[in-house]
Amino acid sequence: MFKDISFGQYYPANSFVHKLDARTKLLLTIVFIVALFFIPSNATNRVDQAWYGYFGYMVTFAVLLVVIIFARVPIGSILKSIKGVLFIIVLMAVINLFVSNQGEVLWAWKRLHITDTAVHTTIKLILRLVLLIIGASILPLTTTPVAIADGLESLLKPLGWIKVPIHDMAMILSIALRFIPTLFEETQKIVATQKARGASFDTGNLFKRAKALIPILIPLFVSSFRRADELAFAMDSRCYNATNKRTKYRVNRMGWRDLLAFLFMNAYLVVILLDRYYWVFEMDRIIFGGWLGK
Amino acid sequence: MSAIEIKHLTYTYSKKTPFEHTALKDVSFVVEEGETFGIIGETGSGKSTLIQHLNALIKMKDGEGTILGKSLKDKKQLRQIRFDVGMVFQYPEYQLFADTVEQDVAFGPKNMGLQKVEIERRVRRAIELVGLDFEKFAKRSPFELSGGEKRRVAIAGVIAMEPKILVLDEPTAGLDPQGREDILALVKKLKEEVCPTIIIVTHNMDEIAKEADHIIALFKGEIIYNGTPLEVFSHEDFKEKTRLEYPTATYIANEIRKQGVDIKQVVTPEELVSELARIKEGKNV
Amino acid sequence: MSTLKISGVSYSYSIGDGKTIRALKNISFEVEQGEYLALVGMNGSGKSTLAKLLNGLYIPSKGTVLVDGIDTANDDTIFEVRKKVGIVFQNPDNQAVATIVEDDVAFGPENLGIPREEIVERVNEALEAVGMDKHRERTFSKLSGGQKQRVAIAGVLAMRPDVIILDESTSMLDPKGRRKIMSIVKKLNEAGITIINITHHMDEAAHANRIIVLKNGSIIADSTPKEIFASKVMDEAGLKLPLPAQIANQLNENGFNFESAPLTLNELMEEICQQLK
Repeated sequence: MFKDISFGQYYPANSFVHKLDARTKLLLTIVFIVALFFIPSNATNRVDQAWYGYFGYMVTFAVLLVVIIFARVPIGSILKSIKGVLFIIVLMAVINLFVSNQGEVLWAWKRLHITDTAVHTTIKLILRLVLLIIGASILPLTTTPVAIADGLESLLKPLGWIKVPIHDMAMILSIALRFIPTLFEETQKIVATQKARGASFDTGNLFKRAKALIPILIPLFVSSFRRADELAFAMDSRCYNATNKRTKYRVNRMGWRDLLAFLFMNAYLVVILLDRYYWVFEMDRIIFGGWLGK
Repeated sequence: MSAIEIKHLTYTYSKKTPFEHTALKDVSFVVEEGETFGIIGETGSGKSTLIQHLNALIKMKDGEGTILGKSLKDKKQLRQIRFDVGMVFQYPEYQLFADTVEQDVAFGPKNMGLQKVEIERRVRRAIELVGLDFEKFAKRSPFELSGGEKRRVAIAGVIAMEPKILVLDEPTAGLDPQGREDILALVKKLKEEVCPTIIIVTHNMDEIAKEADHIIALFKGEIIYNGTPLEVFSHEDFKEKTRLEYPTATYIANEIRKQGVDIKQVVTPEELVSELARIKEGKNV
Repeated sequence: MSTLKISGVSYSYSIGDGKTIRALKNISFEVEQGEYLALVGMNGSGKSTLAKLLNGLYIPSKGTVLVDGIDTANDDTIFEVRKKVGIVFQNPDNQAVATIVEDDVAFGPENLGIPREEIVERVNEALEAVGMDKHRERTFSKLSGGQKQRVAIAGVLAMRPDVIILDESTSMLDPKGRRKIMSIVKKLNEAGITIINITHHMDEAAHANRIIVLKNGSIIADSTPKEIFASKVMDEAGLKLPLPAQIANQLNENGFNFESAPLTLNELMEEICQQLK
C-alpha cells in the first residue's frame, strides 16, 4: 500500500527539461509559483463580468503543456502527485464555495448559500492549486534528488560566506531523500509485525491511539539509530571529509537550453503581470465578451 | 479438520493503477494439523503476501480460505484467526520495543485481553520455552541482549499468545551456523509443546528438505509444485521452473546419477550418505 | 600494492558502568597483496571489530595496524589508509548515501577530490566490474538486496583500493544474490585485489586460499582451508564444516575413504564417483 506513494520521484528520461541545469529548474519553479500568485483569483464585482479572469489560467495551462511535452514525462505520473493532495483540494474548494456573499445566489439552504461568484472563485482556486502542483512536480520528476541537493547547495553558496555549513546541509538533504523509501518500508514491516501481535491502531480515544504508536515508533527509532551508525561507518570508510576540495560527479553547467528556458518562463511571468496590472481583463473581454454576448 | 485451507487465492497490489502487480495467482493448498509445512520460492515470488493472508494482515479479496475451520472472509472471526496464527517475521528482533523483556513478551497477551494472572503465566512459560532463564532475563532491557537472545525474546513474544499455528519467515536468516541449528531445534520444541502446525518460509533448500513434511514451491505468484520434499525436489525441471537450487544432497545425487551410478532420489545429507553406503557395500560384495 | 601488518592488536570498548569488553586480544597476522583470506568465527568472536580496525574506523587499544607501512592510528594519513582498504558492510540498505545508483558510486572519488573526468571513468569501470552498468540511473531503494550489495562493492571499487573487506556482506542476501557476490569477488581477486571475507558461511570460506579462525577475540588457527577443515579447530571455534566436508566425514564412517576434506561440491562428487568404481 505505502509502496505506491510517490514522492514526486524521479522519472528517468533524456528530455530537454531533464537536461536543464538543476539551478535553472529550481529558479524557474520559483518564477512559476510567483507568476501563479499574480493571476487574479476573483473577477470584478460586476455580475456581468463573473466569467472574467480566466485568461491567466489558460496561459498557465498552455505553458505547462509545453513544459510537459518538452519534459517527456507521462501524464500519469503527474496526475499521481495530484491524487496525493486531492482531499485537501476538495476540502478547500468546499469551504470556499460557501463563504462568498457576493454575486447572485444560485442555491440556498438554511444559512448555507452558493453564489455565482463563489462558483467562479472556487473553480479558480481549484485551477490554481492543480496548476501549482503540476508545475511544482516537474522539478522532482525531471531532476535527480542529488542534482536538486547540489543545485540548492550551489544557489545557497553565498550563505557559506557567513559560515552556514551549506555542503553538510546538502548532504543531509541527499541522505534524507535516499532513506525515505527505506524507512517507509521498515514502518510497514513493523506495523505488520505488531498487528500480528494483536495491536490495533484505529480504536479507542486519541490518547489510546497515540499510545498504540509506541510499539511502532520505538523499533523505528532504534533501527534508525542503528542505520545512522552504520551509514556513518560506511561514509567514513569512503573518505567523507577527506578534503575541502570535494569534486562533483554531476556537472552543473548552464547552456543554451537554460537560456531558452529562462526566456520562456520569464515571458510567461511578464504576460501574467501585464494581464493583472495593464490589460486588466482586456484579454478576458476579447475572449469571453463576445461569447457571453455582453 | 485441516489447519489451513486456501482455495483460488488471487491478490493484486495497486489494482487499476499503472503499478498494478499480481502477487498471487489462483493459489490453492491445504495444511494438515500437525504438519511442518514449507513455502519456498525466490525473492518476489509471493511468499510474503501469501503468509500475510494467513492471519488476515492482508484481507482476502479473491478466493476462499479457512483457518482451523474459521473463514478468512468472516469479519467476526478475523480477530480470533489473528490469535490462532502466530507470525514470526524476518529478523523479528526488530519488533522489540518495551523497557524489559517481560513487558515486551506480554504485549501480545495483553492485546488479547487476558487476565493478569494468565498473562504472567504465559510470559514466564514463553520465555522459558525459548531457552532463556526467566529470573535472569525478565527484568533486562531487550536492547542489551545479544543478537541470538533478541531473536528468542521476539519469538517468545509470539509464543506467549499460544497460537495453534506458527508461521516463521526465514527464521535462521543472518545467524551463524550454531545459531541456525539452535533456532531449528527451538522450532521443533515449540511444535511439540505449543503449536503443532508449523509453516516455514525460506530460500534455504537444505534446511527445508530436512524439516518439512510438505512443501509448496511458488514462482511469480503461482504454485508450481505441491508435495513432499522428495516429490518436489525430484522434478527434473525444478530449477528452471522455480529459479531455486536443489538441496545439496539432491544435487549431488543427480550429478552422480549422470555418471551412471544407480542412486535413488534423496533430499538430505543423511539419506545421501546411507544411499551411497548401500551402493558401496553392494560393490564390495 | 599493500600489505597489511597487524601486530599485537587488542581492542576493548566500554559498555558503561566502568565495564569494558575485550573484543580482541593480542592479534597478529600479515596479509600480502593478492591474497584471498576468509575470517571466520561465531557471532561475538570479534571478527567485525577486526574489520573496522583494518581501515582505521577503530584504533587499536594496544598494538599497531600498518597498511602499506602507514599506521592507522595516525590521523594525518588516515585517508591514505581508507583509500587503500575499502569495506563492504552487512546491511545492503545502510551504506548508500545517494538516491541514484551512479551518484552513490561516485561518492568516494568525490570525497577524494578527484577530477570529474576521472570520476566518470572510475564510475563506469566500477559499475561494469559488478555488472550494474545497465542499472546506473535506477533508484537505489528499488534494487534487490543482491544488487544493492553490488552497488556497495562498486562504491568501494571506485576508490581503486588494494584491499576489499567484506564484513558479512552476504549474510542478508538470498542464495542467488550470495552466489553472484561470491563470483564477483573471485573475479576481483583474480584481478589482483586482496580480499578479506568475514563470514559465517563456511562454503564461502572454502573459496579462500587462507582461513583465519577467531574465538573469543583470539586467533586459534591460520592456515589453508584444507588443513583447517581437516583439523578439530572448527569444532573448537563452535563452527560447522562446509557441507561437502561434512558429507565426506560421514561417508568415511560408511566404507568410503577420503584422504582430505573436499572443499567444493565438484571435488566431493569426483571423489565419490572415483571410489564407487
